[in-house]
Amino acid sequence: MKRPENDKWLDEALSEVIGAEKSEPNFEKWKQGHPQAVEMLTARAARGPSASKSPLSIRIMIMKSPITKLAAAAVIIVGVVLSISVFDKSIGTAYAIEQTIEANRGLRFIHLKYEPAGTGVEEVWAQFDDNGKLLHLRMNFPNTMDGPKDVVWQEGKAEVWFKAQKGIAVLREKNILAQLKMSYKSFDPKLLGEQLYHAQADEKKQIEIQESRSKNESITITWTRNGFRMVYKVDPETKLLQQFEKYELKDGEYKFLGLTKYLDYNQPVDPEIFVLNPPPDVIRVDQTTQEVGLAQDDLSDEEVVVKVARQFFEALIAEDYDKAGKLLQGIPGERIQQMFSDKKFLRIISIGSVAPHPNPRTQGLVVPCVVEIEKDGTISEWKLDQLGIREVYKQPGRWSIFSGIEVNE
Amino acid sequence: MNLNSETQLVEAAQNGHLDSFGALYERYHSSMVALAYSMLADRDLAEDAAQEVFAIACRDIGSLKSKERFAAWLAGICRNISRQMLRANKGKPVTLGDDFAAQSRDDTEDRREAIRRAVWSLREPERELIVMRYFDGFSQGQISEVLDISPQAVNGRLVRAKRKIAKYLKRNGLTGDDYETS
Repeated sequence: MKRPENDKWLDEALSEVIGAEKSEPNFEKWKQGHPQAVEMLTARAARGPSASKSPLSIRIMIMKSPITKLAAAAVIIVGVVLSISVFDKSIGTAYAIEQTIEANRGLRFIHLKYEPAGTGVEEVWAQFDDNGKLLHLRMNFPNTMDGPKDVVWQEGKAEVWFKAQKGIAVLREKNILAQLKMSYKSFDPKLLGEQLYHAQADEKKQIEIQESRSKNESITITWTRNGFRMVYKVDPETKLLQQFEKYELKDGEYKFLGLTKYLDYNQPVDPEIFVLNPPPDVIRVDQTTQEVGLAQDDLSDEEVVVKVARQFFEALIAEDYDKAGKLLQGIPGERIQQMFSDKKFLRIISIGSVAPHPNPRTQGLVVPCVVEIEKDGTISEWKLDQLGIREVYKQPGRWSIFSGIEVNE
Repeated sequence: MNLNSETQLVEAAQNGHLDSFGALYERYHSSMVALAYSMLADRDLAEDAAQEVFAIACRDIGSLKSKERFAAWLAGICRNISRQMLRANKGKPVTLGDDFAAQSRDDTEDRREAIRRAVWSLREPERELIVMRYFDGFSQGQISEVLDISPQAVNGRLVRAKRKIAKYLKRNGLTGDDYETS
């Protein structure tokens, strides 16, 4: 793959994506929010550089707790909040976002759905312990680059069921939890409540709250920012989030993007929800105990793709099925032997030029291969037009085959 | 940058002169937001982190021995704060997931998402450079000062980081030919 000769477009793209908003320092506002820090600094004028640091140290230690931080922020910003016309004062007793935050503290279980289906995660279940810490998580993705995928996480271990590939990858890697949480973060009612609360205190952010006029009508919170609009519905009795809709500003209009509906809060949990129950023909590859694929080392992407393809076929020719399996998503050797039991691999005829995978979302590359095989006593060519190879899921720097092989089992 | 002026500001702040600290705040606030953003991948959290950075700097400025290294000292605080926020699950992980990312709706957003992923797939030092360069158009000199590396090293690392991004994007089917700013 040749290097880009003119990367002006890249400069423009990076500026657009990273530098979309300008940061505006406001020392006066900072001073208002940090009176103790200001006091400690100005006290130096009289006391010299040996000023005690304990008062702020205590504040920093306390602020490490998210809940305490929230409480502390509430004290600091209360004056600001009161000056913002957030509440529609014409409607009875004002709802306060703090009530939703308080209601969320008792959450042990939630179940939500996202619409429209097929655009990412569709259904989520999450269970928490008494302290609000995540215990179990299940997320179903009906349409991903790998086809439908269900993910469960618990106790630091994730299992990903690639339904189209009939495989389950068992992963114990810190980033998988971080990524699951990042995805879950988009829906987490606790976090959404906190974000709304903080946004409310910022004059630059537009938040409107429409109180309910009856017990049957939801409280509506509308948050508009950066070309997006979120419309939250809150149950007027429980103060829990019922749903939120997301819109994007396009051509002067806010176009609907998606709806998240909270179906159940604190319902009795069926433990089976957090367990994958695949049919018997699904292969389980435990990546916590084995490395999959081939290390890239100093090779370019194209070179490692060719090397993976070559080693895979050489392993099949040598009937080293364990090695072939390692290069094919870590599938056990005996299963590889079954998969290719009708063929005897004789020699590699050609391995062609590497190209991007036709589906860019796979983030993979393809390479055409032709292999000579013997099947039912006849020698023929086995052509793989698009053998798909990419970095192993959650094993950066290692590459394996992930698509382009069809076998008769 | 006028080094004497900055060391004078730092010294004055160490002696309790609030306006001098304010001048340092105005000078480095954006770069701290950018640096935090490179780790947290969330603009609002990065703003929060920057506020905390200056609260700690305000408290500890008396302990800073090398006044000419104020920016690098500030950057060290910023990295610590950002890591604390990540540990407290208050921030996005820096590695963006393939299919776990927010649902993209159209080609333009897909492209932007691909670029974001390309940036956050870089190693932390490279990511810091790229984000600082493009976040608010910081010069190589400014980046060099905050990250405490030579301008030549900034230049070299920027070139390498951009090459990696371009390679990542090309692998995902995105090149300059089909990139159009909308």
